[in-house]
Amino acid sequence: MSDPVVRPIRSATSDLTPEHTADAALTQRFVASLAQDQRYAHDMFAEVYQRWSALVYSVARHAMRDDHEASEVTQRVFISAWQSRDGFNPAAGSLPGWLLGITRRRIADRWRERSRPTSNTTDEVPETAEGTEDPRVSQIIDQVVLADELARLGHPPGDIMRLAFYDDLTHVEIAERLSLPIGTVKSHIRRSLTRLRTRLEVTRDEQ
Amino acid sequence: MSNNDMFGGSGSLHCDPTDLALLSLGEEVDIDTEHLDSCADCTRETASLRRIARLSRQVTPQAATSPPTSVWTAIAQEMTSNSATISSATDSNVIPMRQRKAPWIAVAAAVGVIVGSLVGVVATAENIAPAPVVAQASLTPFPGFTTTGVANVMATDNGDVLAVDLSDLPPANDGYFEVWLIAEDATSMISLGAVNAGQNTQLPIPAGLALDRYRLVDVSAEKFDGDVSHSAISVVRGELSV
Repeated sequence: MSDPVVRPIRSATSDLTPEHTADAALTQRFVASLAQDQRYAHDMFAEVYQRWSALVYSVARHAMRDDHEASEVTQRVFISAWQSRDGFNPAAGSLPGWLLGITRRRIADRWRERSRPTSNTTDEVPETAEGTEDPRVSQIIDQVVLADELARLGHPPGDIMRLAFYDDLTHVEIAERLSLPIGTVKSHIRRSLTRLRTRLEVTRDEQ
Repeated sequence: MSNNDMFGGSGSLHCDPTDLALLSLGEEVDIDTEHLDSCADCTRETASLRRIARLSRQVTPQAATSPPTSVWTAIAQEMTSNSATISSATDSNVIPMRQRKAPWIAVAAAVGVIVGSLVGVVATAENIAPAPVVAQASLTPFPGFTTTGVANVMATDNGDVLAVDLSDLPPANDGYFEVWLIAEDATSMISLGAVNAGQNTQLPIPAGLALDRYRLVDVSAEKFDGDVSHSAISVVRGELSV
């Protein structure tokens, strides 16, 4: 097989969701399309956008605190990604990790542009060198990714985790509240925690 | 999976991963603390899950928001320097789409009811029940489009056909819409023909085509420009599953 190899996720996880499998397949198709006619690549890139633009946009919204600027950042991110698509190496990192790496840099650019005219008077947004990363963006990314994944856990895992995280109920109390067997609640808790961890790792898997 | 499989297993028995998960949430768990304190793997696992729990408690579950459709429009324009794009916005220049009925659906349903409920009644409508569906794809829109649909591969007496149902289609400004089967690895694609909005456009699938490979059903917006290749503007797409 000459298909490009998509690097497996680092952590030992037995909790790969169908979504993870679909994401890996999308990555594979995207990489394959790069060697093809530009039209294929264009087409596949639209799929990549469809899958990951919400995450990029949400990160940008949190970082810019302005929908219009967030749209602009999202636009820049995907145009940068398109222009540098040949540099994407699935062996070096994940596709969302690559896109979020670009997101970091475009946000840092935007912050720099914003602070430039008033850089003498404010240190609210400290200057960072071109192309460097900002730990504040990492934090935003983690938060957006977790909030999104928590919202996607569904029923009952999402309900269980809400009760565990925000109502501080024990697994026994949760089982009672939701009329579920204790064993079911316990395994959902473990599976959901590792799923959240995997999602964080995948999106941090930059190159 | 046994505990020891999880961590590659050596030394004393590892703590139950589920117990470690509960522990990381701050629950009191009856656990082999002696092992936990001395085992790097169990300690690391707990610390890692504890971090996930801590970060999760700082956020409110909220699905990521999609950007406005104008964002993709701008990106697509940047990507294709000179190829024309089809606007998904309402336009005065709308080509009305012919809506065709699929009479066999109603007839087939009626046949089913008659055969199923009345003994001795012979269905007079001969073999017009729909051909069996051997694979199906639900078609979801690309950014900037709202069209949805379903594609069914049906085994007919004359070979496989792809039946495409589309909810609606954007204005086809000087153009039309074309159905493609794309190989899963995106290395090749074949055109099955044109499609209009509405139900049940049936397109023959070439005999011998490896359908298990060409699993992506794609509908593209094309121009009447004589260019037979895919315009790179996809409206909907879906993966066939048996």
